[in-house]
Amino acid sequence: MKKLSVVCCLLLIVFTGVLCRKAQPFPEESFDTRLSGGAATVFLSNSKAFGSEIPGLTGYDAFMHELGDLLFNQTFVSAPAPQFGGLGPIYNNVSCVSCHHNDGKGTPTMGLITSSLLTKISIPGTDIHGGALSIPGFGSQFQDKATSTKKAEGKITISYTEEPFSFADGEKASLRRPTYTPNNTYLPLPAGAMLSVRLAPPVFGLGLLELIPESTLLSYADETDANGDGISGRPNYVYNPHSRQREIGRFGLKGNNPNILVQVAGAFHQDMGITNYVFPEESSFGQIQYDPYDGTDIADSTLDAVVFYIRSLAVPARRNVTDPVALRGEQLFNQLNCSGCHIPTAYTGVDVRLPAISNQRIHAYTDLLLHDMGPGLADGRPDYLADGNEWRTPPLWGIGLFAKTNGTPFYLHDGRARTLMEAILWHGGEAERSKTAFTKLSKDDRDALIKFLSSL
Amino acid sequence: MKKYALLTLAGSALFAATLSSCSSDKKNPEPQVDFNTLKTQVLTDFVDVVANPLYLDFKNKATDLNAAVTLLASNPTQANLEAARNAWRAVRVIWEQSEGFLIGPVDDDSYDPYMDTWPTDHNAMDNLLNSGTPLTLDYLAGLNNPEDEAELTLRGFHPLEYLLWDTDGNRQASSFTAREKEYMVALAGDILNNVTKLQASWLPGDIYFGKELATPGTGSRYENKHDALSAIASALTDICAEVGDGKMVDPFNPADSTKTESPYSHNSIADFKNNIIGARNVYLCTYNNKTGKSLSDLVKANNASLDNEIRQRFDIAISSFDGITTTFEQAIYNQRSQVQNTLGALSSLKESVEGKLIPYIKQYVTD
Repeated sequence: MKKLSVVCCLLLIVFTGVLCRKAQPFPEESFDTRLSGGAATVFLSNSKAFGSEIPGLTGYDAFMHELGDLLFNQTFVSAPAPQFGGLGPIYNNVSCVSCHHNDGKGTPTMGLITSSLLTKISIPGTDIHGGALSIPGFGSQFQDKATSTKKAEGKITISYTEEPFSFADGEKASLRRPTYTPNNTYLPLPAGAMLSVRLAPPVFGLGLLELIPESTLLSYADETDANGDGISGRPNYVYNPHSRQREIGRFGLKGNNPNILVQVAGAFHQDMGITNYVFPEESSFGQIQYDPYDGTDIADSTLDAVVFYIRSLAVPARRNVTDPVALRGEQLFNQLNCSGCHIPTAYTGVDVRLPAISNQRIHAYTDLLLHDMGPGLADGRPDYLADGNEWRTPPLWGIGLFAKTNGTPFYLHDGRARTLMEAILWHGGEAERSKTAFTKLSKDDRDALIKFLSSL
Repeated sequence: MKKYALLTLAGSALFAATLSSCSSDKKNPEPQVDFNTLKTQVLTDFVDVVANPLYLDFKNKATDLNAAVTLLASNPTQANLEAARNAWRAVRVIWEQSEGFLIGPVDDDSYDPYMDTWPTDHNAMDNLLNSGTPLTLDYLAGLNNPEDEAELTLRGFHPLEYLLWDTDGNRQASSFTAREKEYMVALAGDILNNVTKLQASWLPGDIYFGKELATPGTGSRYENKHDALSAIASALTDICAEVGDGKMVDPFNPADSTKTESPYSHNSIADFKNNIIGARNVYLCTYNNKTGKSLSDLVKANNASLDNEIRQRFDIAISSFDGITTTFEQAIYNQRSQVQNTLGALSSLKESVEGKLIPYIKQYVTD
């Protein structure tokens, strides 16, 4: 009996010990840093690196993804047409892929077939939902193309002035500052018209970003800069015409869209003039070139397939994760507090339909919040709560692959930066401190930081 | 034990010596190329043996098309119409084969949409033909002001196909209007311009993509040999997917012939087949009876059975098209099992390329 009680006693101690041990987070170094999109990562670094489906789709989901892919690449024509009609009457381009080349970032020209810039326009004031106030006769986007019997709203001429920059050690860079001038408008533009020129961003990984809980984004916000780091991110809140609610803005370069559905539906509607169940009226509604309502141009399931395609695009893996120079760059990225806005790690919420994006640890390098980027980058056009100086932090994942997916890489909201170095130097406002610190780094350290960015 | 090991060693040395003496007895000994040299040579040979000669052919065929269409416009006889149609088909053969490697300028500089946008915009074409707009090359291509270039759906192979065949495939040479003649000349000229630029971009000059691909590293859009070789291999997967999961399935699944790619000329089957022939040419590094060191050689070096499998699956997929004995527009209604057979063959080809060739390159080409 004595023996038994000793054994019991020992067992009790062991069990108590086990129970005392609390669940610990998986240690940081045990994660594979290549997995930028968690389980939704693909190991591709070529021109198709942004165009892969998330691993583990079911047969039906893979079919829907493929269908969405075809539609994303499909050129639309004017109605009536046996297939793919509904383009225009006014539009900016004829397919999704014309702007989002290889699902990535496009080319900063306007009015060409290969152009990926568009111009949001408005006059001072807000509409009933708190959004930008449309310009009578033009709407909220400047369509620079039209079908053969209609007139484009006009053209926008881009000119650049080169502004030299020198580092203390003599290395030189040149920043090209753009000027955008509307001309040949089909009606006179009113005085005080505000223009915001924006380059098509990459479209992968958005399913993950959509799943980051709102509470996480709000935890990043620091509107009064209580921690005194010079960074005061805040969320945009926008009107969702589908749910008819005010929701947090995640997508669009000013956080001006609540989710992938509204983003994609809006692109069909404004960029291509294709009406759909979210936006059933032509983009020329209320204008002299309005065509009476004749049903939506695409089926509901067509829009849903494209939305699913975007949601199920995987993130390319990070490369060179053991390269000491890139790792040094990563250290500097954190030291300079670039990571203050480009927050490296986040966790997605749960979506039981798509396990690969559900509950994932991801490295998007964004807080999806608005930040004052200074007068150099300001567009001067408010968009919901975003003022004329504010932009939403863009994700940095995949930024090292732009040269692969687009031939020539371009960076920032309107593609003015031709190199990552130029892109960093344009940062101002809340990023002024980090930018200044970057300019004071040694050449080796600057190169290391860029090497790190290129590894993303 | 040591003794045994020594014996085995000696035995295998003897065996190896016998083997190597055997191979040297062959009539045409293959020059021994080590794997490292092979990797480089596969890249340079792809550029020199396949890509550049093909693009040169493409330019020549586009020149022929331009001449044939110009002749048809000035002398619209039925014979000249037939000649123009043949020239169109001939240039399509090369174009579809070139889609076996949609990498570099054709992709990055958007030549594909400039030449091969589908569908055609009938309303826009009708309006254009009924308008007074000068129907010149300048109008289509915006030579003076790029911002004035015509929409993609008004340019390239398919509007020209529509003019040469009409929707019922039954165009009569006598029926061409003056405006249609102007339009077809402008279209052929625009195609020739684009092909000429595309061909030049692989050669020494502003872009010189051939060099970028053959010598990856600094100054190239490919970081290393692995990068360049997997770009070529991925292009093979892409074309299998484009044909097998896209261009064929899209009209096939809903049985809707309005969704086929070359509906006026009924050239769709030839288009598809040439896509896969083009891809096989890339894999075997062969074009116009010339051959070079190929991806096939690269695979054979470490995995002969995989190479066999890929070559077989290419052959099966290509010959499967011959099972379809009518136009694709008809076949999606009447020969569904034959089309399904091709789709199956394309799917197993893609499986081998995507699931085995690409991982092979990842495993064996690490520089």
